[in-house]
Amino acid sequence: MIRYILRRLLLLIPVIIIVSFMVFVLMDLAPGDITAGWDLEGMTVEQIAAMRADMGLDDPLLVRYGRYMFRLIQGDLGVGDHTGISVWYNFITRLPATLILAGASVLFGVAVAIPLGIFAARRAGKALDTATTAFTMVGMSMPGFWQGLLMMLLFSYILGWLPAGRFVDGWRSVILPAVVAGSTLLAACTRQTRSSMLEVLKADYLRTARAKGVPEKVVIRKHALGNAMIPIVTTIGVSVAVAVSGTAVIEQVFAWPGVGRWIVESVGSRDLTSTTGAVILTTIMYVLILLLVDIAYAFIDPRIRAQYADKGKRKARAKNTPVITIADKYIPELQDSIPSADADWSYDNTEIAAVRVAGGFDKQDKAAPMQADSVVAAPEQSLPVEAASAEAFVSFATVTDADAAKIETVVVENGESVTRKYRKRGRGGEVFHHLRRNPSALGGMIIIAIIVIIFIIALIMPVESVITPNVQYRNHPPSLAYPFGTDVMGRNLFARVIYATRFSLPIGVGATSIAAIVGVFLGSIAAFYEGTAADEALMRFSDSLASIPGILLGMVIIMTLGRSVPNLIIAIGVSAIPVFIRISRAAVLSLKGSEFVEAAKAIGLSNFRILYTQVLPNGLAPIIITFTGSLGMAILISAGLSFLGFGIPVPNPEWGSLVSAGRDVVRHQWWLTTFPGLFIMITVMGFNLLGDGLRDAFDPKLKR
Amino acid sequence: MEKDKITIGGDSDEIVLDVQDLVVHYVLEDETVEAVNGVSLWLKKGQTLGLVGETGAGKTSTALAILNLVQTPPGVIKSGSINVCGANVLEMKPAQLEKIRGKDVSMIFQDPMTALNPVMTVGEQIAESIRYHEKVSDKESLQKAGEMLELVGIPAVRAFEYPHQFSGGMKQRVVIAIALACNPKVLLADEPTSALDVTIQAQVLDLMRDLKEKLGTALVMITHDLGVVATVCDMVAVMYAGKIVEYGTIEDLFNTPMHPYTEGLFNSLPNIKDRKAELIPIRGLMPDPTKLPVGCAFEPRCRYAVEACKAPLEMRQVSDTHSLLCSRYEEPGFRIDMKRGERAHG
Amino acid sequence: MAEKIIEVRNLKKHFKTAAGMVHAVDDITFSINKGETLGIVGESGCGKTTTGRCLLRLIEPTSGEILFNGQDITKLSKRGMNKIRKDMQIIFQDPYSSLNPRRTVFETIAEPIKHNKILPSGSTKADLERRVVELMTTVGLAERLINTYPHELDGGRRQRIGIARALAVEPQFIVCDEPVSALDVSIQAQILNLLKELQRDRGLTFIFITHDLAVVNHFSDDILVTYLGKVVEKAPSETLFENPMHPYTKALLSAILIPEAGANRGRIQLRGELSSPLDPPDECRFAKRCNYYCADCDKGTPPLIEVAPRHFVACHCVGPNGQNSLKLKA
Repeated sequence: MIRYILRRLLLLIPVIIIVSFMVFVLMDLAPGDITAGWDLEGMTVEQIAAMRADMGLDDPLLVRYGRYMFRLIQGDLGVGDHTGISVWYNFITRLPATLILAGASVLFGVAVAIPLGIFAARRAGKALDTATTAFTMVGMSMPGFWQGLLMMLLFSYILGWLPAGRFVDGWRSVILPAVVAGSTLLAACTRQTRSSMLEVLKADYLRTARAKGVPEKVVIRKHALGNAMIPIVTTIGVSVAVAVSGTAVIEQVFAWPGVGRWIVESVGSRDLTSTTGAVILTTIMYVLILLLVDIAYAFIDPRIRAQYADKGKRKARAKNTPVITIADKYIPELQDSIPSADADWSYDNTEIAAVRVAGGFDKQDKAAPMQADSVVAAPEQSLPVEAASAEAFVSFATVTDADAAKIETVVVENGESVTRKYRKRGRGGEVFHHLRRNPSALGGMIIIAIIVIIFIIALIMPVESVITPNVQYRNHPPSLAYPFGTDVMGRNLFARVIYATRFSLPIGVGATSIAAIVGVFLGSIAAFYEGTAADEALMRFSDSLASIPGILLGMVIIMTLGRSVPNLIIAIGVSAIPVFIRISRAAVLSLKGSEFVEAAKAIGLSNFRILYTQVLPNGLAPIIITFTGSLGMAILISAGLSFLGFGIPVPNPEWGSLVSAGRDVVRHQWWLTTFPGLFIMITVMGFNLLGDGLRDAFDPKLKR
Repeated sequence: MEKDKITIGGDSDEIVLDVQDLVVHYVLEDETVEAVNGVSLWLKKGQTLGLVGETGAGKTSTALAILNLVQTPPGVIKSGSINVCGANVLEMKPAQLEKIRGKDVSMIFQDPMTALNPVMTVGEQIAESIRYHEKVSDKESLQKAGEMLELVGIPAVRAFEYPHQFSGGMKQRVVIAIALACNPKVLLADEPTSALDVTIQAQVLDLMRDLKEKLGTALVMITHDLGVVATVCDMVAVMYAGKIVEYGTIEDLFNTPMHPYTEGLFNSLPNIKDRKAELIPIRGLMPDPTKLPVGCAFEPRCRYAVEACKAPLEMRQVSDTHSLLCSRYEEPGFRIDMKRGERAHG
Repeated sequence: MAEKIIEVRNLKKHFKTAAGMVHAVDDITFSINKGETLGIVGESGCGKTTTGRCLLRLIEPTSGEILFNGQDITKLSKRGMNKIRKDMQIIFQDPYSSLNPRRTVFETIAEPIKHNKILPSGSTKADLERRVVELMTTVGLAERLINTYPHELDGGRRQRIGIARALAVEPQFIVCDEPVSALDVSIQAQILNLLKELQRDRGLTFIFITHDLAVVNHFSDDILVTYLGKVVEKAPSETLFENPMHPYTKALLSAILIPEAGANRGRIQLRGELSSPLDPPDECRFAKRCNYYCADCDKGTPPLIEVAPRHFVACHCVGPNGQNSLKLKA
């Protein structure tokens, strides 16, 4: 166990190196440097040059990087470019506030999510379950800043119950920010609990327990939950990590004196040293928290504990008991001894590429494919994945593609005539058929259709209609002429919100598409060269990228490249790449060993061809689901970025900046924040609903 | 069928399991799967019944119904009665059911790999059953769990290990230990050895036979393998499309099988003693369980089918112990011809 | 003199795992005559599946020679291998995962034909369709199923698609990896009869991998019994069943459950469990489970020797003339 911890800590080093190098290079690309804000009036060119030489500003990149790292190892993160205050000091004094906020929000989120998830799982398909799903759907789709502002409006200004943040009134001031920060976590965690429970509720060992006469309550509490906790712990862990490092937006809204605000200030003021230090420190925090989660696994899951046992002990045990607990690749001979088939979790272990339990059939019901799904995925499951996509990742484990659906048609032969039950439907047709019947997917598709129409309208709207001031009508509340009211310059908010679609939608779609293309390509290569140095390198890179919180990375890239639509696409897209790498790698890995792939090899098809014509098409399901989930997330991030001031420059409207514009006057001109935020929420919800519907449609088992 | 006349294998007249006209359907969104369509069977104390059939015959659903463990949506127990040690299972409340499960009637399932809770020790899983049914302390229940392990051939010290540390055959032994821990009167075993290697299968079957004799448990052995039936069972019921098509003693079924489906099953098996003998498969496929005919479900595949077979049928008695669901036997002198030639007598 | 189509010499396949080196296939040697069937039997961990895959180089052997029609295919380049792939094919066990769920029956069967250019150049789509339908009829699939997807069909039909796919490239040799284990008894017989018929009509050579001894007896001319990666006995089927020499073979045979009333008593019980295939030491791998012993049991790995015409055994207690010095353990 100690060895494992030490090894993981050692792995931190390459991650830090990669992350710091990436940031360093980015900073370097940014125009100007530390001297940009200084008052250099009156200095001669030679003096400036000499000063720069003294600071080593014109040295080659690698030299400067080396110097930075050298100081970093000694614990010196430098001082703020403009303030001169030690970066470490800034960080460490603000850390407690962030930790308190993160801690409170996690506590709140988890305390509600787990019981709620169990509650929903046990009533799957019934009204209360649907209500819970709707509730979590809303929670996941609401932009945090908007929710924060509205709650502040309601609870602080209107009702006066709670202080509006600022950490001055003792514990009461944590409540509002914690609830807001915790609600995304709450939503994600509830959904995760629900789906893990659903998965576990199907397990055979529950049937064994019932057959023993164990009371139902105990079956659920002890047997089911005990196993469901494993994936739930992942989500909690990931959420904690995200909470700790991603609170920038919440801190802004509630004026919370935490690390997030400091980062936003640093990036905004182009304080390169502080930004670099901040990113590195955040990354370290993130990765450490996930390490803790992994250690927690060992206490919950004895199979993992066995794996961490000393190699020597493990070997001895392997010889005594004729069972090898974990295998390196799918080895037919070891199939019998691979741990319990319902282990649809990957084991975090760099020695394992994938554990595949499949290639079998359910002997009891020969008509049906094996209950235990073919597997799962990649190692380092515990490393950073955004909350919403963690779920997508996890649910992949419940969708099997190669094992396909059970028999749907049993053909009875009666001489020559045949009775068939179903119309011939291709896979796509199947999916579409189920989508149509799924109310939430239908809802999602309708919403998306409406948004697309609005987008088209936005494209033909002349820009003048949204930026021309009309001061006579300024600050009007909503009315017939102005359904969303007017802003401080008298501009029609309704028109501006609609016009904003022209940016928000392409940014979201563009970013996710780039991430998908790059991610799937890299992921399938990684899976293809599984186990080699190339695979390792790719995964290290992917994890490093993933350990930088999305908004933070976005801010840094924008700061470097400047604020424009294409840059926003890049900024947001880059942070979504790791998810796609991970999902597609897992999909390809699980299919790689399939027998139809072997058959294709036997026919003489080349590996490349097999990968792209046989494997990937069958692995599309999780990728598509991830795509819709990421789309929603991309729109949220883009809104967050523009809320913080990193979006498209004025006067172009963008939803996030529209919300931000109204934030100081939320008490009086509530419409300025409410409507744009509502739009964000509905759009994101549309994509999430579709994603949910797709997941259900792709999962043949739900039809049973 | 007169139950009293069947004294094969049992050592008393006590009927421990009595299923009458059981009907179990699964109602899905577009259609209804008629899994079990009027099954009647019974067991006396210490007897073993083999329930034979292929996929979709309804064997597992029958067994689950006996424990009232059928998944209730979409499953529906439409009619019938199931008496375990005299009490009607279908009328019991959950609390009563929990009492008899594991204590009066136990079940072991097919796949040992997924039947055990991966995060609980093996000993704890056995002990749990004991604690719910017997008034013993935790310590005593673990002690007893250790004894059960020894009984199934596993050293008691391994009670502290987790399922993943055991191989397939040993896992199945643990499952057996759990099922027998409280000495139930009836044990339902659903294809307990299908997932195991041949030599391990032999070990586990012998173990089951020994335990059965030692503890006097009545056993329903669900299987598709006629060899398993020959090894462990006293009585046999052959199921097809949710109905029992032939019911009798081992000698009845193996020496004088009468139903065309049973004949087909035997003819499909390679004969060890005559490797060159041709296999005669049953042509066609299993019927669609959502569209079962009114008459004989086997009729489309039957070599001996005539028009009359399409009409509804009734179980008929051909001897004290042997009964059959086949209209052709109403004709005097009708017999299947067992084309493969004589099966050697045991 | 029958022509040897396949000759395998000292085939080894080792997998490196976290826990050690798994000796999945350890020095297996055998040959098959054209038009005959070799059955490979064994339980889990015996290496039969890996051997089958190695023969087609779907898994790369660690060492050893595989001669196909006299040519060592282990030495072939990728291109060279692809050229002869159409002469050797495989039928898989699991009718569910061995077909691409997104391909119709037509596409699955047509793909190998197209890729290997089986039809003469200038053939039209209609020619291809005709060929596919021919194959479907050969394996007993109704023509109307040509555009269905695997998930719409049952196990038996799917397996027939797999067979048609294997036949499409007109191979000489087919590895059948547990082709009927996943099927119902009545369908098993259908498929076995089909395979026999195909062998008769086309002069195919089969390797039949299975754990079911009754089936292998019926289907194969010769049988190879494997245990933990090594061959323990090889003999023609009748000989093996009448006169098994290796204790493991004896145990396997006695474990067969005969569907006859009153049969199946007095079985040979093996002791203990399968030992680990990890880094096995140089000794008889079966010794711990064996019910017999003799003076020579600890003299390292027993070699495979011919103890009677065409009858090979790897057991220290069986002498070169077939005499055995087996003593029952207490």
